[in-house]
Amino acid sequence: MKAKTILLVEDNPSDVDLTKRALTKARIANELVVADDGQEALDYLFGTGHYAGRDTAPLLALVLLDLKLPKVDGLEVLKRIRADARTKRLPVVILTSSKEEQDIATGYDLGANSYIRKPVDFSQFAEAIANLGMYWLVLNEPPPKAVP
Amino acid sequence: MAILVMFILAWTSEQLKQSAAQHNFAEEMFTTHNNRIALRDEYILNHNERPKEQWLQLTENLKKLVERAQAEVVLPEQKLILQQIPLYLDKTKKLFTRLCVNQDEMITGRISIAQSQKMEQLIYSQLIIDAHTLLTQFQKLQMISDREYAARQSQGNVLVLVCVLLLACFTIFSSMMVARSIATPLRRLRDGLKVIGDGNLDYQIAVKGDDELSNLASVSNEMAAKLKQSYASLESLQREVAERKRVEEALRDAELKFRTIFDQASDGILLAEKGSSTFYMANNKICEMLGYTQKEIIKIGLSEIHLEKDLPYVIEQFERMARNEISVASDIPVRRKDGRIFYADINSSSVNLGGKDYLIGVFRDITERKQAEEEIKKLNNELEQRVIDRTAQLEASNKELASFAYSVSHDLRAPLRGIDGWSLALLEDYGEGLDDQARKYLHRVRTETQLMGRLIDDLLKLSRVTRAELRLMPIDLTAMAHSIANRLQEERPDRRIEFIIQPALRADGDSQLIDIALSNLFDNAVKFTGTRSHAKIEFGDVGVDGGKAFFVHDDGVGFDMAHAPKLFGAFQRLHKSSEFPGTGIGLATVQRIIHRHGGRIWANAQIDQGATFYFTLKETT
Repeated sequence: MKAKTILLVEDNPSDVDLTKRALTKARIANELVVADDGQEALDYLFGTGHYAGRDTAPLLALVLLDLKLPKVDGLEVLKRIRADARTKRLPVVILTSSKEEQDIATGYDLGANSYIRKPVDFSQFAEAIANLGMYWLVLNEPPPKAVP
Repeated sequence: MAILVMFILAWTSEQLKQSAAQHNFAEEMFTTHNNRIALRDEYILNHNERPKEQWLQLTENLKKLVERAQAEVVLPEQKLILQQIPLYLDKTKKLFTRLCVNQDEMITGRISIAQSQKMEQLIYSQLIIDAHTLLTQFQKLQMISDREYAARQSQGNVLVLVCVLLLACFTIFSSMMVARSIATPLRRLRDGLKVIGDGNLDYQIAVKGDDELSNLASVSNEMAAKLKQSYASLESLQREVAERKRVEEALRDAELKFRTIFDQASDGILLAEKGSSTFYMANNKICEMLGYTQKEIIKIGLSEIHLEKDLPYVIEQFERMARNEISVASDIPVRRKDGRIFYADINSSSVNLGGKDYLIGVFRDITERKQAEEEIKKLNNELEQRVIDRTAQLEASNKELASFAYSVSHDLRAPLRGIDGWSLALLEDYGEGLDDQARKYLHRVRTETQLMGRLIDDLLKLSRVTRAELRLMPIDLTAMAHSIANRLQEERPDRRIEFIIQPALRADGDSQLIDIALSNLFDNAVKFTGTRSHAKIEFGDVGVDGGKAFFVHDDGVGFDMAHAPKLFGAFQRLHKSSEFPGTGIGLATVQRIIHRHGGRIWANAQIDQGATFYFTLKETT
């Protein structure tokens, strides 16, 4: 069974690379798709715009969603994910450097499955990513495919 | 005296009467005797039976007279004479009877005429002698009674004279007595009246007896008493008059004062009798305010000084004032004589003056105040606008700050994370190719980066503390302290720390913020007792300035109180980072939290003697 795709929505290339490295280090071999703004993430998810015609049928393993994004911000993306029948059960983990409570609360309200703070100390982040992969990609039973 | 005189006079008169009676007896006896002599002689001449009979009769009468006289007389010589007279009378009777017998015998012839004549001569001679003797006796009697009468008369005269003299003396004496008995009380009365007349109305004239003078004295006394009464009432009247005068003066004085105050008052004052449509009295100020003269103002009423449309409101305000619902009718439009309107606060009250009910209205011209108020209102509006503007600006800058903070947290941390992340990547992937020095430098890069990350985090925390809305609720501080202590103990399993937490500590506050504050204080306590093998941290409360302060005490390194003022400033540190790491923002955050709760925070410490941080929270009942 081919490992499912992970969508990383992140605009900071350094963070993208560090995340990639952390995943690699944690031996998470899932294909990683990176969207560097909110709109691109939505296009990828729903096969629109740049990704028009993409087969959206295979379910993603996980969305790692940064909150502060150009164009369409992370919370809006989350809202759209949860609003769409095809993606409403998709596990979404919020990645943010913000510790603003409002963000966390709103994120959970909108249906985020988890929340990872990106600390300055990268060791901690790497550890968190490793744990995350273990949980969401290995231990967690994926949701049944939603019927459109 | 009069009786005595009368008695004397009566007695004298009786004596006289007695003498006169005796005199009359004597005279009658004398006359009768003379008549008898005549009858004897007639008989001698005629020898008739009639003179003989008459003579006998007269002799009998005379005898009776003598007997009567005997009973009457008193003088011894009279008695003597009267005792002798009957003897002679009897003798004459015998002689006369012999004469008659002689006559008869001559007639009858027993004797001769010559004999009889001779006899007759003898008897007749005897008779004449006896008759003469009797006559002499009677004359003597008469003489004695005459003498007696005269004596009586002169005696009576003397007595009368004596009586007259006595009466005269008595009269003089009694006059003197009367004069004396009248004059003394009269003098007393006069003197008394003079004393009374001189004004001593308490003087009492001595009253003696029950005569007119005494009555007069009593009446005078009564009069004096009445006079005194009237004087007394006069005096009280005078006093009353003086008092009244004084009162009137005081009243005039008060009236003047009142008038002056009334007219000098800076407020306008109007008086109106209840139910009257015109004013009764007005002071100068109200005349000035309304533009009327004193004379004009008492001819007008409420309807002239208020617009018709305002009247019901004005009257309603007055009624509310009468019911004590409001203390003053504010902002009442008042119309001047010239039609201009000004605004006044009117304080009305009702008073009773001389039995009449009046309404007093005190007018305060609030035009100036109103202008000032309007000015203030305008200024306030401007100010409010400015506040709104400022608030908007502030809100904008707050938003800016918020977004700045967000940016800081997000955007500044991202490159830091990159620096740290790539340094780590370098160390992990190429560490073996680097010497120790290079690896140390990379570690230093990471340490500094992470410190900056913490600084940013703490700054954000501080700004969040400032911005977060307070949600006050009752907090169980003891429970909170225990949970913080547990957490710290878990984080530092290598440390031996004894936490002494007072039970049942409670306060009202925002539990999240108080948790942050208390955590900071406990963190510090743990941090600065790091050099102690066995640390002791206490949390409790203590009475301070009549209130309650909570404290966190540690037995750590403490600090120099000289630096205490810097304690709560952001980025202020009293210890070297190498000794005790930290950003210097923790206590600034704690202070901000305590201040936001209306409390205060201070510390007490000594180097190496531990430190105690006190804080209060606004006590909400």
